[in-house]
Amino acid sequence: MKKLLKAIFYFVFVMGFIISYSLIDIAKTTRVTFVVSGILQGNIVSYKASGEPYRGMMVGGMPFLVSKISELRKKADKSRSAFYLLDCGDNFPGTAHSYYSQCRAVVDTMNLMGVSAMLLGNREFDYGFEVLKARAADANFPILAANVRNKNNGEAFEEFKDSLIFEVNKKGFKIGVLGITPPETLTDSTIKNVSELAMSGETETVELFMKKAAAQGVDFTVALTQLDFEKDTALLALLVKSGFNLVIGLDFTNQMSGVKKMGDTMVVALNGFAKGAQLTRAEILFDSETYKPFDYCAEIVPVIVNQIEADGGCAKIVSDYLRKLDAIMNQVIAVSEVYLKRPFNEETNFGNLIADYMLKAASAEVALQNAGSFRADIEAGDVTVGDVYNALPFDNDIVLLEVSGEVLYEVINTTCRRERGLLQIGGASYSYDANKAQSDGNADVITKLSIASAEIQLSRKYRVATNGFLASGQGGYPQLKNCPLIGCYDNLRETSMRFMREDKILNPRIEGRINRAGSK
Amino acid sequence: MNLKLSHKIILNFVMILIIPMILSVYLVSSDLAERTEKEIDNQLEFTTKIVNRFFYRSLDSMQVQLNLLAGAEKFRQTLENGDTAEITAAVKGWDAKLNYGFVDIYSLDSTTLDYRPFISVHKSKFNEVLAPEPQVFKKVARGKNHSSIVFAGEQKAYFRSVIKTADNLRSDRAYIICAYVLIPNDSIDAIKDITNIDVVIYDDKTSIISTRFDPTGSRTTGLKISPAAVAALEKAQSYREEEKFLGDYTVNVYSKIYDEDRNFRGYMCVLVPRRLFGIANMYVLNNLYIIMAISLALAALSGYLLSANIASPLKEFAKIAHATSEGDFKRKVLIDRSDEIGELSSAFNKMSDKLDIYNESLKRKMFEVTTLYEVSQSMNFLNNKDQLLTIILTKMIDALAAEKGSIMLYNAEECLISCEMAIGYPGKFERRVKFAPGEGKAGQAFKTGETIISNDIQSDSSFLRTQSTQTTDNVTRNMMCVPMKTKDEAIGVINIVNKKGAEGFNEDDKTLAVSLCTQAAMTIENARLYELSITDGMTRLFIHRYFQIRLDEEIKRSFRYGAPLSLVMTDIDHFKKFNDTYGHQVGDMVLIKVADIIRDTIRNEVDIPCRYGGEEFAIIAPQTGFEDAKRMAERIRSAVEVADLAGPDGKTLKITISLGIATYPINAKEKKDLILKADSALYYSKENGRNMAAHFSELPEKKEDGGH
Repeated sequence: MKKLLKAIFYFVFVMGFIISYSLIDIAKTTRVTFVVSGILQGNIVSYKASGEPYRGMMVGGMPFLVSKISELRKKADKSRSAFYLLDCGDNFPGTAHSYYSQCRAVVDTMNLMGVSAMLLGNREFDYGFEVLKARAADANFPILAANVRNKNNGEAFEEFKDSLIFEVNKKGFKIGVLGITPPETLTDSTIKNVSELAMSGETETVELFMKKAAAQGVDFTVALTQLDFEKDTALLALLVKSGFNLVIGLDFTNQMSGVKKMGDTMVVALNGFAKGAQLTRAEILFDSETYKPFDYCAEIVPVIVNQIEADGGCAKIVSDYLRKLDAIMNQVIAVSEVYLKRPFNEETNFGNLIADYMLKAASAEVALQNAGSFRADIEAGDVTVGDVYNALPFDNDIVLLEVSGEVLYEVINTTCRRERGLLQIGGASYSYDANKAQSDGNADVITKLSIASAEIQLSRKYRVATNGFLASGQGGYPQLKNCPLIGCYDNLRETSMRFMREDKILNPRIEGRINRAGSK
Repeated sequence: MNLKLSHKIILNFVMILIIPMILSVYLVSSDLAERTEKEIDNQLEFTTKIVNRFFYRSLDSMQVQLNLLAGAEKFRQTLENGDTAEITAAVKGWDAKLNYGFVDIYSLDSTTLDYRPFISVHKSKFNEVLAPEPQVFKKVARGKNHSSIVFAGEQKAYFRSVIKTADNLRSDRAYIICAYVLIPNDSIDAIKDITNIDVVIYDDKTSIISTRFDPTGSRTTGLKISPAAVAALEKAQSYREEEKFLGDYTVNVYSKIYDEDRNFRGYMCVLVPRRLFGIANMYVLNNLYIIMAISLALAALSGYLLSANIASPLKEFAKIAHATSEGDFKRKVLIDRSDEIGELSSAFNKMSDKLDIYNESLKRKMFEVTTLYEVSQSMNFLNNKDQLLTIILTKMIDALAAEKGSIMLYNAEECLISCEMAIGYPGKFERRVKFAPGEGKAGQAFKTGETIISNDIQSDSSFLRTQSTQTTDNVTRNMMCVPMKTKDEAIGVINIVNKKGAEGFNEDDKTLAVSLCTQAAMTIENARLYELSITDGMTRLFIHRYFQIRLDEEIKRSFRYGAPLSLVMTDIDHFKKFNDTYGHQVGDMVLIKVADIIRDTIRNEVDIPCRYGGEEFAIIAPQTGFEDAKRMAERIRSAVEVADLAGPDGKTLKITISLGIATYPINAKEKKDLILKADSALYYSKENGRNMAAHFSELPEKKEDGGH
């Protein structure tokens, strides 16, 4: 009994000493660690990096990312630093894993990361708003989207929050985080996915938050954005001007490390191509009385497979999804009698096959498919879901546009002139003279353009099926952007697979739809 | 180990439960562990069976279908007569029904059984790795079908079915059709999804199919099989090993895969996570631990209650018994209960009471005996009467726990009892209180010979108040008067006054007092008798025999201590004349008078006066040298000379004495010689005029020589 009392006494004594010691330390400095994640784009599985600085290395993957984050969290705990994991969004869609699990695989594994707040990125809408809403409900972390409003009533969606206020300590040190979804979400997304959305102005959003922050006694304000520090200078200037203490954005140059100071605002960036291979860690030291930051640092944290021990629990979740995905990917949907070659600057059987499917799906007169949307060939023999997915990885929907003959002619002329991936065509054929293009950048290089075996009528309107990417004017064909949308159809890849299943045996041929004249 | 009863009881209870509980936990947990192992075994066996069945069933159905398709007459005709395109088209037509990877057709000479590749549909092109082995061809050529799993060595496994078409009787030709179906991962994955058990299929070296993914998201294919497993499977049916994978422990069981002809085709490994099996058992064990904890708590509680009910009273009992054993009979067991413990305690209390009484009386007796012994011991060594009386009285006052007391002795001459010794009274003791027998309490006791106790003396009319009893510091509250009797004659009374404490004297005191008094009386009587025996009846000086004894003793003492000793011999001058003139009565008076003078002149208690014989006296003077002896002799002589003796008819008689002195060791070295020398000196005094004292050392030489 005496011994026990003695032990308790010593324990209390030592604990008291430790607590008072740490109180003294805390009294001087308050540390806060921000770890920035995001731009996962569905990459829950490690992959071989194709770009610098980790070219050739196995990087990323949720088991490693989760493990790395918990390592950073432990490090912060050790230095008695508060820890917040802020995520820049663009996480859910992007890979077969997320596509076939409807982003569940991503959210289930992200739930192990301990995200403090995630910004709603524009890519989150890729699989439709309903999928997004369901995943937002699955997530154990809040999703911020201060400028996203319901188009019908102008109010916020209950799935998302405008901002969050973190209480760093009991003494009232508060950090406010505002999430600004990229304003181009409305324009860059497939229209049907964002049909319910309205975006409020950034100035208005920022003002509202600043008022709220002031009212709640927030000491430190953070703007969680996807702004590109190179390009989105207007938004950055607005945030700096509004007095944000910290702006988190994206860096696509992969050169920005550390903290950039703009006036009193600290700017920290995450690699815009992070895809789970990089995190950014920023540590800020605050004066414990004024809560004014007096020192800061930031670093890029790589997630390299052979440098980290994977998180077992996460790996299990991932492998469960992988097995399910394999079951889907290994499904043989057809047998190809021929090697399906992806197109570039020529007509290929694969290009024709897909263009024909688009034509069929939209009951169009002409189908246009950019060569760049084909990423792989398919060998003769069994064609699996995986084969098709790898060949057509982009989640584009088929859309039907009303295109005037004039515009169509110009679009074809553009692709021929450039010769940087010829548009694959269905329901029509075209011939061009490459020599003319070389001599004059704006020349009319088309020698023949026939639709349904008839010469194109420039004054006529044609029903043209294409993908959402081209329809939004991207890919180098801005002419298409202004063409009236007259129909939305399913995902191009899924539609193609549906037709393949129906066909069973594939045997597309080169039919002389694209004819090139002139030297190489 | 020295455990208390209460601890023992609690321990006992706890042990009674602990041992069975530990046993049951041990048994249950080992049973559960065994069960888990069995369950794992079952699961492994089950999964292995499922996988095998899946294989064989797939192969069977493949074979049946292949037989049906290839056996169709139309197809056989196409084979026989059609061109390559027609045959290919026909085979492709099967794809709607069978999802063949590819089909190789061999032509077979029915008589020689030689076979040649004929047509390959899709992409096998008679792949050497996948193609049937010669013995398979031989078997199939004889009309038997064959099916098995084959591995393409490129992380792909196939079901392969080989059949022979019916012989074409006209051309002696037949065809061997070899069909391959890729074993899709998801078919094995389905087993994993249903059983949550991973399966890995190996060819002879590496993993070809696996349901397991590494953390980077790749299936664990292309991995080498564990060499230990390969070695073990040479001898045993299965091989088991434990593995840690992504933080989980798994039990991996390897077995061989055979085709229908029992040819070895590859290995299969089934991986069971231990976690799946531990859970249920963990709950059982957890419950068991909870039950154990509760039982232990209950055991401790019941043990505590029991110990409180039995051990605590017993503990109390033991404490009292211990005190009792130490002699404290006053403490009682305070347990008021009606059960056996209550009975025991009341019996114990009774016993303790009785023991107390016995003990008290024993103590009393012991005290009496001790006191008597002490008193008699003390008395035996005392010759002095006052000292004797003091001892007797002190002992009696102590023994009877009184404040004070006195001893009165009967003086036969006066016919009174007079106080000879008193202790505890204020002031100096004086021998002045005297009672006649029957007077006062003491007188009554003396007269009746009975002990009188008066515990309320102030209201007792027979109590005689002396002056001293009236003072405030000398109040008599109670007293006991005990007669001292020798034989049946009373010699005095001992009065014991003021018993300490509120109670007065009781019967016990009386008994003790009587015993003590009897002893005292005897001692006093003995002292008196002894005194009589060594004393001359007339002169009351010591008799000659006593003189001889004492002189011996004193010479020895002088020798021992080196002190001188003088002997004075004296003789009454002309004593014969007194006898002849005045008669013997006057002669006796002279003797008594001289004896009294001698006794009064010498040192009391030191010098020893004796009647040497007739009218001769001797005085032994210990530690007395020549000068002192001379002075003493001269003192005696002059005292006698000046003394007047009342003679008959009113005459005053005068006496003188002659004295002779000798001193040890200067005059003599031994008793007889010392007496002789003193006598010589006396003789010298007589010869030289009488009424003088002469020391032997002062005698003329010749006298001394004459002495020899």
